[in-house]
Amino acid sequence: MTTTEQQPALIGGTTTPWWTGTKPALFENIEIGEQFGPFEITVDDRLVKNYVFAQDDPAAGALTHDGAPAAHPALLCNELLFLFYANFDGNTAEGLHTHENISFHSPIRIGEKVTIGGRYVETYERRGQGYVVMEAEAHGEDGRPLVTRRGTEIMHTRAADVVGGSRAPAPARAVTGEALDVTPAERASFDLAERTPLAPAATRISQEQMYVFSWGGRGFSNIHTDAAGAKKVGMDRTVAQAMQQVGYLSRMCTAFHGPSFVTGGHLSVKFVNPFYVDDLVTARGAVLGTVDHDGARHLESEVWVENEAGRKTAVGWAHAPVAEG
Amino acid sequence: MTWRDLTDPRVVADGVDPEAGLKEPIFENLEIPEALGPVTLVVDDHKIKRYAFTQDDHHPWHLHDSPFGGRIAHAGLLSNDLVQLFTTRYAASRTVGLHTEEQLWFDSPAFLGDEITLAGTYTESYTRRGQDYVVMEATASGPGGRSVLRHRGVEILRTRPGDVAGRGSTGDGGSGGPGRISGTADPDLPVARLGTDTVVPGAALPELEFTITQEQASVFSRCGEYVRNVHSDLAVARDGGLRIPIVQGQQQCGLVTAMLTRFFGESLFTGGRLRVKFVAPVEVFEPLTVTGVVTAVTPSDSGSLVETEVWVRRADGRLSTVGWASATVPAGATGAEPSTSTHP
Repeated sequence: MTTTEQQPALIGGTTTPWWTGTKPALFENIEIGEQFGPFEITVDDRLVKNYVFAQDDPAAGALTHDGAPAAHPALLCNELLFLFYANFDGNTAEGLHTHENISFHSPIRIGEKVTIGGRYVETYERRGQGYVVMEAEAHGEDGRPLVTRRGTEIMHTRAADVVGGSRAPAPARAVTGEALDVTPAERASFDLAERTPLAPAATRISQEQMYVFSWGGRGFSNIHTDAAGAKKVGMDRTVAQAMQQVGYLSRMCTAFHGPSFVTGGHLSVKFVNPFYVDDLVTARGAVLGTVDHDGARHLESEVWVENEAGRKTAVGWAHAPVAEG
Repeated sequence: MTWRDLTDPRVVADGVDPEAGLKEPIFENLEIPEALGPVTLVVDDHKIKRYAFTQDDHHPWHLHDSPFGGRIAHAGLLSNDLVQLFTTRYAASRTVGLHTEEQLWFDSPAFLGDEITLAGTYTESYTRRGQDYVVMEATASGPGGRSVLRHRGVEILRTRPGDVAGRGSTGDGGSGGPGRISGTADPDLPVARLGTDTVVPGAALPELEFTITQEQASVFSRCGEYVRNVHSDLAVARDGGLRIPIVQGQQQCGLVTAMLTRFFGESLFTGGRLRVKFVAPVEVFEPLTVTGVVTAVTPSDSGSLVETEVWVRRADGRLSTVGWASATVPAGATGAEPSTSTHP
């Protein structure tokens, strides 16, 4: 029941798995070009069940690849995000995830040994905060790409001081959240009218799901995993990890597009407001129209996540091919 | 809105410490008898899915539909709520105890959406081999007062788990019940399966394999209520003399009830009985095998009473949990019927 090559060594041993670096997670400690990995991990049944539980997304663990049971590549997104723990001490991380660009390429066979790796490619300072950009990817045993991401994060901040206000750069175009007053579409089609709503996906996130998703089980204590971790940075309650919203949007888009989202879906998301433990959040979308992606015809939608008060916590766009017929 | 657990952790956001004012869980603070609870909680979708996750038990009766009409809770779902009822009076995160024995009576299933009232009493305390023990009796009742689950548990209230876990602290390594647990079945007999003539003394029960990860142990042992203990937190475990967190005894008990659900089926939920002793610790990530053996089949007017021994075995071969389980199955469900008793 291994989820990484090193994890079994925890039994009775020291707590020094490969993802625990030693550098304090501070902006000034970032080196551009710094590599994380590559590491081999096995996407085993346990890793899949952890994701299914944390995201309340059973469909993510019920795919097939070449006839074998497979899982959604979205389950590797957080593994890729936390790659920087390989060099930095994860328990010193007080970052704020602001932006995520993700491309899905293939389901992952359950039991498959995959390779993950990434690097810091850019840093910049804006409004007194230090941002860092990481690019990372995962490949299957046969070398096929599974998922690639480019994410932006404020490397070290005091979360209580900045959550609640957008830190992301102003988008080139706005996500309006406008949708036609019609029955939401269950399946993607190029025939759908502009602004047709997608069938939404709602989740009330629990502390246990946040603990599992944000690596509480791997020995980390942070603003997501427990009250003490939140209190340490001035939060009165735990805040959900932004990357969980990528999973909610992926769940909605995969249900909408079907397998084509798993093999050719793209998500570009900005995290604009926090959401907290026990919040009910809903992934929503509205069809925009056809776009060309590397010579292929994709259907693009505006997507967002909103809380019960209707406040958007993540906004962005998704596109993927459409399997017509 | 009724919450799903003994405590509502949402109060933490308001600066409330859920354990403030609760007693230190030490022998000197016990009152016998002492009422524990009552607490009313709801069996909601997340509570069932969470238990499915911690126990790796995705049986369709719990997640889809059951012969009882609708989704039902796992047989063991409420058992840890009963064990933990003492934390309505005592501080949960100050507890460094050792659960040594558990008895459960399964009276009826709990359904998705049921509000369940839990109430218990510390009925007895005693000192043996330098350890202070306390006995709790508790019940879980559903709508209309319907009995769902009854519990009797024995626990060492305050100890250093690293010093006593694994030394046979239950006193007898498995005896003290109806008989010593052999941990073996007749290898020449097929695995017992109800509805066939395989349910005979000596036949093995279905075997299930589990490995409880840290995530599963932590979620089971109430990390969602911000409780820190030797099951959920490495630092607390090390303070207790352990090298790594150990799996809660009641979580092992739940592995046994999962196996019994697969063997007894509906009969477990409407009259099944289980008694287990926790005789050796289980570390997180330690592979486990859960099984048992049929010891007696006694036909009666209402069916057949099937008695079994059950156990959890660690990868090193040592038994960590041992016990006895029984249920009355419908007439015709065993090979013994309708002729005579097959008591050994």
